Amino acid sequence: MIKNTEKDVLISIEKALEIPSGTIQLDADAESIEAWDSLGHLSVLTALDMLFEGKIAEINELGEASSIPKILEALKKHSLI
Amino acid sequence: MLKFKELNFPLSDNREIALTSAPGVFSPTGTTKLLIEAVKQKIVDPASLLDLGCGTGVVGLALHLQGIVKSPLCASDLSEPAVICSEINFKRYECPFDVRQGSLFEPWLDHKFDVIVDDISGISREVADLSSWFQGVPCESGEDGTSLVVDIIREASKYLTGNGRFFFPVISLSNVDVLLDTAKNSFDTVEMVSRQEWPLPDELKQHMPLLERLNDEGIIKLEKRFGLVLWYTEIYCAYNI
Repeated sequence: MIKNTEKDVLISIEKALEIPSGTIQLDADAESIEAWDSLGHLSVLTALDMLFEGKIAEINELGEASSIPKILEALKKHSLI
Repeated sequence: MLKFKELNFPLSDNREIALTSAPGVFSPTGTTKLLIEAVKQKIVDPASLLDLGCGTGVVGLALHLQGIVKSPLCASDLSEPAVICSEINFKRYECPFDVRQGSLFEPWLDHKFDVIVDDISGISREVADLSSWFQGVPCESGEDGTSLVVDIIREASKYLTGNGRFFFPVISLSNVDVLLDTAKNSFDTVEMVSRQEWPLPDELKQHMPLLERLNDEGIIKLEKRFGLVLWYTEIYCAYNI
């Protein structure tokens, strides 16, 4: 199985938040992006769950992972990227 | 003497509606926005419309601005402040209106409409008591949040024209099975137009034992995903063939 990359994750997040491609950097957090409120965060996680084919629904720490580094850390911890 | 306040309600096309509201008038929510979008999706030609439980009048007004309401826009609410605020908001946007105060369909006994939109959605009484959504606004929907809404669903078809459509929200902080069963018993067709999940707000998260009990009893429906507790709104369109 080909693993998704960090870039794939950023693209998914940008699409979920409906913001232009290339906006989000690897160190971005929710506070710096207006669209990334609690509902936006749910959209992000739902989009990532689709990207990872349903494999992230049980990763509880993602609920509080309000930054790109925290999201990537959780995904790496579960060997998804 | 009403203490008015101003609020801006965002529409999906990056516009905002400026609304006058007051204590005792329900503030529009994410469910309100979903309801507006659902009607816009399904209704393309101007239609006679009733905004039932109009609050600030935002639903009818948004649809009027979309050009899909035949004049006058009809709206009603149990709350006198809501009727007053709706009139102010309709006048602000030069929307011809007929606004009445009354319970459910009582103000409209001899009327039929092409479209009825109902933004009256009950939630379980115990959840309503914990949340700030209904501050000062009546929410007498019973233990499972359905008692008001089932009455509306049962009666709605009497106030629809032959091809009329009834749009209503179902919120999973109430007994959704009761609501959908009532709708399916009252209409030939009941179709879901949209669905949105929401994270449980912080003010409710502190009451998880109660919420879990209500969930176990089937009074509400919660899901746990990504470490979040989620509830949902679904918007339905019901009609008779």
